[in-house]
This record gives sequence, C-alpha cells and structure tokens, in this order.
Amino acid sequence: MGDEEKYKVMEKVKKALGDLIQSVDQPRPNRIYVMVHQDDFPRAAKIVYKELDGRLATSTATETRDAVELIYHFMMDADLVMCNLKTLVAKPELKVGSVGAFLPAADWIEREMAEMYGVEFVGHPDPRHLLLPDGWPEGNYPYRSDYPQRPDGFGEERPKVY
Amino acid sequence: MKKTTLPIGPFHPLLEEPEFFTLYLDGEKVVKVDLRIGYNHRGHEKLATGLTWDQVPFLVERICGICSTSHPYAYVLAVEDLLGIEPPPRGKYIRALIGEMERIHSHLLWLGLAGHFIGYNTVWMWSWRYREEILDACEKLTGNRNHYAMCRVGGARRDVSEEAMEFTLGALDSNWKSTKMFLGAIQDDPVIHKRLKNVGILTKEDAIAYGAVGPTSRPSGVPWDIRRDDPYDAYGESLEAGAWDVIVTQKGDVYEKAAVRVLEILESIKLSRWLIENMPDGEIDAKVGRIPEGEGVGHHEAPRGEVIHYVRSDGSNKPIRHKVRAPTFTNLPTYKVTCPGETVADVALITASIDPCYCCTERVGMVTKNRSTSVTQEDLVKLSVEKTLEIEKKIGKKSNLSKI
Repeated sequence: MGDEEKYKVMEKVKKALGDLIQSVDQPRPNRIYVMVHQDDFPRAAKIVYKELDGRLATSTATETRDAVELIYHFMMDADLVMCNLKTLVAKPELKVGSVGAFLPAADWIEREMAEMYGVEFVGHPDPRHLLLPDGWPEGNYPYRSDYPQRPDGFGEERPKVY
Repeated sequence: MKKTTLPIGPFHPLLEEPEFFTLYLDGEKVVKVDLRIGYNHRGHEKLATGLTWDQVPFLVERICGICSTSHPYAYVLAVEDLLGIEPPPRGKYIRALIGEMERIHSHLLWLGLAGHFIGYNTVWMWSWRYREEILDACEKLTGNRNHYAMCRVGGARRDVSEEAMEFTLGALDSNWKSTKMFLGAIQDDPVIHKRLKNVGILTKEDAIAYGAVGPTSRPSGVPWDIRRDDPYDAYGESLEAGAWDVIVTQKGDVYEKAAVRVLEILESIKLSRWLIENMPDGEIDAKVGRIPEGEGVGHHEAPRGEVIHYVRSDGSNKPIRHKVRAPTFTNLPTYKVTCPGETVADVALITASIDPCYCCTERVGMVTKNRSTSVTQEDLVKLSVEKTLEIEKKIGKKSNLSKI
C-alpha cells in the first residue's frame, strides 16, 4: 500500500471521530496522532476499536506540569497505519473513564498506569495493583516526578511493604 | 461443592518474568484463573530516562535474555520514527538478518521445552542441539551468542563479514533439514494429535479483544504481523520478492500454536537466506547527530509477537519518556479464556503454548480446604507426561517423537 492511501486513512479517522477531535496530526504516512478531550475519551476509544478496527497495542502515560497525558496506541492493521489517541487528564483530580470496561486489552495497562501515575480509571472492572504489591501505601506513585528516587528521600515515611 | 484453589508461583529468580497464578478448581477442571505479575519489575522505563539516546539500546537489550535484539530494534525504530530518517540499505539488511536469526533460535528453544513438557526429552535435546548451530552463526556474525548490540539509531553498529555469512548459510541448511524432520514428526503423529488438539482454544474474537499478538494470535486466524503490516527495514522488499510469508491458521488450539511456530522457523530460514544472498554493499549507519524535540513509536515483530516502544524527546541528550511493552504483556491475559474448562495436566501445556517464561511453574503450592501441600515443577510436568503415556496406551501406539 502506497503512502497516498495511508494519507487517505486520515479522512476516515476524521469522519469516524467527528466532533470529538480537538487536533490531528500525521507527521509520517503510517502514524496518526489524534487529541480528544478527557470527557470524550472512552467514547473515542470505542469508535477507534469498533469502527476503525484498531487493535490496542498498549498505552503510555506521561506526566506534564498540569496534567498526565495518556496515549492509546491503536494499530489499524488493515490500513497499515497506527492511530495514537491522546488525551490530557487534568491534575489534581486525575480522573478519566476506563477503556478497560469494554476492551480487555486495556485491562492490565490501565492498572499499571493507575498505580504508577495515580490516574483513576472510573469504571475499571478490576482496579487492583498490577506490578506493585497489594500492601503498597496509597498516594505513592513511583513514576511521578515528585516521587523520591533515593531510598533516603523517604525519611521516616518510607513505606513498609513486607 | 468443595472448590480447590491451586496457587502456582510466584517466582524463580533465574528467569525473567515471574508470574503468580491462582487456579480455582472444581475437581480436576479449572474454573477460573487469576494472575499476578510484578515480582521482577526492574523499572527500565524510569532508568532509560537517565541514559543518553545511544546508551538506551544497551539497557533495553537486557530486558529479555532470549529475544534480546527485539527491544533495541523497536527502540531504534521509535527514535528513527521521531527523526523521520531511514538507515542505509546494508544497515537495514543486517538488522533484519539478526532479527530473523533470533526468531529461529527462540522458536527452537520453545520447541525443545514443549517436547520436555509433553514427555519427549529427545525432542528437547535434539532441538537444542540444532539451536547451538544457529547460536554459533550468531557469534560469527556479531561476536556474541546473544545480546548482539547490533542495533543503533540510524543503522547497524557493526558490519558483518562475508565469511560469517557463508558459515550462517551452512547452519541454515542444516536447520532446514532438522526442522522438516520435526514438522513431519509433529504432523503425522497420532499421539501428538490426541494430546494437543482441541486443548486451550483461543477464539478469533477473544484474540482480537485481548490484543494477543504474534504466534499466539496467528493460529486463531488473526493475520497480524508487524513485518508485513507496518513494513520496516528489509521486510517490505523481501515480502514483495516472495522470500517469505505470514503463517496463519484458523483453530487456535495448542497443536496449531506448535505447528505455526515450526512453520515460522522454515519461513525465517528462507528469509535469512534471501537477506544474505541479496545483501547490498555500502554504508551501514546514517550518522545521526542531535535528537530534536518530538515523539515516535516503533514496533518490531519479535519471536513472541509485537514489541512496541514509545519515546519522547525535549531536545536534550536523554529521552524524557520511554515506554516499553513486551508481547507477553498482552498474550498472558488470554489465560483467562483459554484455561477454564481444561484439566490441571493441560495447564502446563497451555502455559507453554504462549511461550512465556517458564519460571511461573517452577514452584507450585496446593491449597485445599484443611491442609496445604507444596509440590514442585516436576510434579506438574509429571502430570502432563502421565497424560501423554495414558494416550499412548489407549491407542496402542508409540509416538514418532520417542523414536527420533
């Protein structure tokens, strides 16, 4: 499939997502980046999964100053294009609807993002810890920039896990 | 009715990716499976943000000890996606060649362990003997049996010599014959058919919903292969030249997962030969300087499925975010649908069919209502082997595999 056809996939994505789109970008023929509002996020993910036949490869959370940015990497295998669906989840509430509620592929990765970045996925079917132990103290999110990276940074407060 | 809980795990520190399974049993049948991971979380994503762009490949190479080139491969593809560049032709061919050699030796390792799990230790010995030849070829090509350090942003790190490629062709020829023998042994064997067919079926719908990748999803009729769907390096050209094909079957049971892997070895041998025969001359590295601001996603079809890396740059000499996702992360949760309804003796097989790391079955604790006992991995394998022997007795025939 040539590059021109890959650029046409953008029209398909725009048509399917419609008003939900805040901004789109296609820096290279096989990569599409779509930004949506956090309230519309699960709805947009459902459209990409059901109507555009996107396979959820994984998701990435990145911390910015005022928000945690989520990127869901959907591979559209039939169109040979990867559609990266983005949203900004505002601090300090950090609440967003869960994609794992209807898509099992998002189950584990949302649990990981929840414990590492403190994002709450509303409606997640199984909101337990994935990588961290069950006794991990609340409010400690290891991948956040304010998390102390050295053990002595914990001081007296260092969580006792076992 | 009294329900039994059977915890498996959590880990043995020799191998990567330990998991903890809890099997909820009703008699011998598995009713529900619960998984816990995280016993060996090493924080690679955080560590990568403290290293320079050129140091990260060495770090991510050490995520997996078997498919060691798949992570740096996906990482350099992600950074090249950020930069919008392509390596020179020879660099592309060298990287693809290493990727394919790795697929052959990883699948052979799996084949050996699968043989061990169903009770044919000769298969184990023989397939690992042929794997040695491929590892020797890897050593000739790159200087190492594993952890090749051949991927670098913008191309390959080292050139490969003509002599090493000649040696590799010899190893590939020898492996072609042995793989054909293994394929024949599996395809015509009534015992293997009885033991593996209709066990642990993963339907197409479930494979799509769970996002299963690689040789876990392709036997279920899901034709996803990153080498074809998002062609990178030499894979697009070689597919057009008809050097290889994607293997897809429809049923999704353990038998087909085994067959797909053996057939993929043959395809990889064909592709490796094609890459060596068509290896272009010239530069191997597009000298990359500063990494600008931006983001990129790269993915590579590793032996176990798609490995995906995401990087973000703020224009400095280090990534500010690096995300890693290994194929087992999406393949493992399919246990939730493949294990229920099967017996405990088959769980070891279904475990093996996904090709995760085997440490999970290393230590098994059995908890019933009033007492708790502990059994080892050998007991679980013994259960599986006993079932094979039972089948042999029932149909009154010895397996071809025991004669190899």
